[in-house]
Amino acid sequence: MGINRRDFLKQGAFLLAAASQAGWISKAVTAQDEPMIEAYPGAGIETWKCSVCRLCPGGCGIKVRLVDGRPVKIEGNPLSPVNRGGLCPAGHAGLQVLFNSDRISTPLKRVGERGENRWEAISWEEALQLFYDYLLKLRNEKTPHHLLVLDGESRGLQKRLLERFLEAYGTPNYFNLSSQEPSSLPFLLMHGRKNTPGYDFQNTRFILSFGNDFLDSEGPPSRMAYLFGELRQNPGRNRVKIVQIDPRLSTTAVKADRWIPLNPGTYGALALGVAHIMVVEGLYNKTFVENHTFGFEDWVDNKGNSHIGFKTLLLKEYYPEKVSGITGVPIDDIIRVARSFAENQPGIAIWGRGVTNHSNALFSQMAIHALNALVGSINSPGGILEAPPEPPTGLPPLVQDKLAQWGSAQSPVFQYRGAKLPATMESLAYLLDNIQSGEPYPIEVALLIHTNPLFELPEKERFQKALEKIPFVVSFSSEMDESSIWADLILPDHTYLEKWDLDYEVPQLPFTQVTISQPIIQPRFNTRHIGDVILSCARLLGGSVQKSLPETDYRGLVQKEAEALFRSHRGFITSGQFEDFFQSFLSRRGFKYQEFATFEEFWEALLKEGSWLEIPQPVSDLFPRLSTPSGKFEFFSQTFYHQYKALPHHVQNVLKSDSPLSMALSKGDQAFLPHFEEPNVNGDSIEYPYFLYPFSILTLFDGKMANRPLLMEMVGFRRNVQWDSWAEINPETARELNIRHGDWIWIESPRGRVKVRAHLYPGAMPGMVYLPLGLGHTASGKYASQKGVNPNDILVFDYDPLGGSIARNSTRVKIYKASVA
Amino acid sequence: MPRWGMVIDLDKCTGCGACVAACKQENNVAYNTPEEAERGRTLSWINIMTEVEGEYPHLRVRYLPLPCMHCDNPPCIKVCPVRATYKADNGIVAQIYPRCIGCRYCMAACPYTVKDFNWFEPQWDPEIKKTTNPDVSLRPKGVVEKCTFCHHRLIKAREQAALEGREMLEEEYQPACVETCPANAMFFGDLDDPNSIVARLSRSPRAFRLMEDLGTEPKVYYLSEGEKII
Repeated sequence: MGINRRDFLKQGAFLLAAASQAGWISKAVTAQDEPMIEAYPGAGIETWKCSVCRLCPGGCGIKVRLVDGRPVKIEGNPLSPVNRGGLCPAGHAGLQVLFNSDRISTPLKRVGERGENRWEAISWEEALQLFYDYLLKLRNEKTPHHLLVLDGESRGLQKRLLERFLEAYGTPNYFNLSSQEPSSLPFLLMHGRKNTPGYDFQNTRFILSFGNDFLDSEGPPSRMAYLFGELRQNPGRNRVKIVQIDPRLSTTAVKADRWIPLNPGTYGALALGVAHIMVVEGLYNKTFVENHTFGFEDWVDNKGNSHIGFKTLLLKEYYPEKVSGITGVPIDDIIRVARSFAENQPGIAIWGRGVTNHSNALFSQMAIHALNALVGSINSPGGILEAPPEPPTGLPPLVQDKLAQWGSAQSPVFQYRGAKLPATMESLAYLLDNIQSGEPYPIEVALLIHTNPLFELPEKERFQKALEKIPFVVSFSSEMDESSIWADLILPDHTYLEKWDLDYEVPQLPFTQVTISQPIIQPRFNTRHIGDVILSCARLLGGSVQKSLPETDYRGLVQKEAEALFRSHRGFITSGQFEDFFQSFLSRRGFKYQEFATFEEFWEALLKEGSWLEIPQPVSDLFPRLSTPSGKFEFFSQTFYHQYKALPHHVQNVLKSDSPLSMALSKGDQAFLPHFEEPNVNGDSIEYPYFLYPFSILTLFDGKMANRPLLMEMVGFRRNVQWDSWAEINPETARELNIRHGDWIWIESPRGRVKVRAHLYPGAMPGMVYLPLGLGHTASGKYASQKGVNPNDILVFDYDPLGGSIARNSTRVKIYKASVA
Repeated sequence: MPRWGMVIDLDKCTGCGACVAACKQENNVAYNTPEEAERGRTLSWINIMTEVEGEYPHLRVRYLPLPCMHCDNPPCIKVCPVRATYKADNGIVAQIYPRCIGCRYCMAACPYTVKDFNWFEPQWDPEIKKTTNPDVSLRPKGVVEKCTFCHHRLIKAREQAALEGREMLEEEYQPACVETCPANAMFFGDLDDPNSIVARLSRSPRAFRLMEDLGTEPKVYYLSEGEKII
């Protein structure tokens, strides 16, 4: 600058005097070399476009503000039935996904060794040809099932397209790696349904949450915050009571009416203890249990063998003294929870990652879900509802040739040693083992779709070794993350703000909604929609694959699906909260006023308003027949039992004696009932006296958002931490270790150690250390890499042998002060 | 002339930080390097304050979003030697960047510590700079900045109303934090209009203001069951 401040002040008096005569004060101020504040060149014309946020599975409707065609701000779409105008902090950083100097701008082919990160830019024609050659090769060799897809993001139409493609191509290997996806296995075993049901939070009076931090990073964040604000505090409504069960004082525990800390991994025991009290005190819904459940009382099967019932098991095994001993929860608290849960009906018992992060996850989930059945909150308002119907599809019927039929019928590579237990035993652990050993068949082509397992998984070496076994790895990532570095070919996808899509698979919603994703601006780089890549491959492959997917471009497919919505005469385009209620009120009575004469009008409205909504018919008094073997809710899972019994004896013996399942199966009938199992612990309790619990945070989720400066700067905003990890330790524990707030410490597990700063937090359980997930990248862009530590680096890879979820909360560590940083 | 004010319901607030992110994006608040953040130089016009009380497991934690209070009797304007910060007729405490000499007296005088100083020329990533909001000027080095109640939104709403030849409606002007709050815990409006939602809520028995005894007369009210926080 030409003038420094001192000179400027000196000249001030003169300038003012001169200005008053000549009228050039503004000129004097702007006469500096660089103007202090840049003028905006454009006309400033403002437009808004609706789309959907794809940064987590929450599915919030968004609207983007554009000034002169340039996106400047993302807001929640007030018309969206999911979030009603709110938007979580991560959603605001969406523009930094779109505008980011670390984006991959063109297809890349590996030139160096794998993992060396040396690439050659190639054209789309060449890249597609390369990809297609491999796909064709597998088909020609009659091994289409050697194709594996690891998906971390796809939902709605994109997922429908991928599933369709893989079915027509002939592979069963579509594995969802999204770490946000709650396991739906308990629903399959007890309910007989494959997908997560709807949770009717809107009408509930009590939420008994087992380790589900739904106000922070679990569940659709903006939706849960909206419901919390709406249901909890608005006058004139019954205030929802929330009881949070969690060893750590999480955000939800802070906002709950009551927080009950318990020993790590003992959620299942507590749930059973609560159930015990309800049974003993007669607080359960007897009519429901009698009429609509199976396996509560002792029973005799058609071969004359007698089996124990859930009630007997509860009364015998889960009396309060024992449960209190296991969980560390005082008996009074167990009784109080049982009574208030029974009194405040309708209520829902939910579970979250606190539960699924242990090796006993499935049985804990079943125990918690059993509470829902005890109070009759199954298919009743304010409880757990039928999963809402899927929106109609415009795709032609699936055509499979013989090869595809055969390929799809192969047992998926992510099942335990190829065991045919469709209900159970699917896990990433089995996937890695099977790829390693090449049994039952090798994987030759792997597609990584917006997933970063080399960052998100513990013991990444295992995944890396598995990748090395796969001859051809394709990544669709739009940024060079840790896993894409190991790929052979990168076909960069658009970011979600440049994409056409329809989104409808938001977990836990009690209604069907479709939100349109439309390009806010034209794709900025030479990227291509993954849907278009798949469609062009289908076209090249021809035959039955092309017949199953005849569309030529993805936008056309989106329009066709939207047309199917229009033709179905179901639902309506949302136009606001009260209008939506009124619409569904009318439609239940057979009226509909928001009719569009033509599809074009419907399409215009969909683009403008963003969402389509269908509220299901209210729950009828008649309890539906469930698709379990008994047609009822099953405490004793016959699905699991029959599958197990159908196995040949030698396989049963192997499972019993030498498999991750042997512990559960040695308990006889208990294995098919909700029961408590000790969670696995890794590490010697004397050498490693503390537990490491990683937790996810709203700003980063699983780490995909770490390359956004907006979020990295507020990564620990509740703890006043920026750009770094922090280790939460109880002040008591810290005192034992002679650690003060802000000290650098080492956290060491049998797998390695990380250096991080201690953060004394009284809400941390004594004897534990908590690390946030999502930081500690080694790649993924300049704002993400080398910031903080990744707890996955020192976690032991453990998992639930049945449910398959990764047991992140099972590693023991020791903690010691680092000498000078 | 309206008197703009805000009400934050702490019983609804989940401390999610959406207000913080929305504010930064809306107002082109520059981000700093990790090294500067370490020295406490992060710019943020609204912060979530966390207060922890007690010992495990008998704990009480509170989250409190803290924007500028836009005091009716603001201590910051009294100490400014160049009148760079002043109170407008509509009650908004504003800041004139080209006039600010960077003495930071106002920062010292503010009992709520909601003002930030630009220690450096903001280092914008060339890509991310493309998403800056043209309605809000980028601040140069050496000036103090703070929450403006998204004053530019007021100007826009007023101009739009004038263009259409009508009175501006109160709900047309909402700051970014209020607009985005997922829990609908924040409210904004005219405190002098007895029927406005903020005026009604500010009379609630749950309502309180921060450090009322200082006589600053803040225009940000908080609602909370139980006792006052500070």
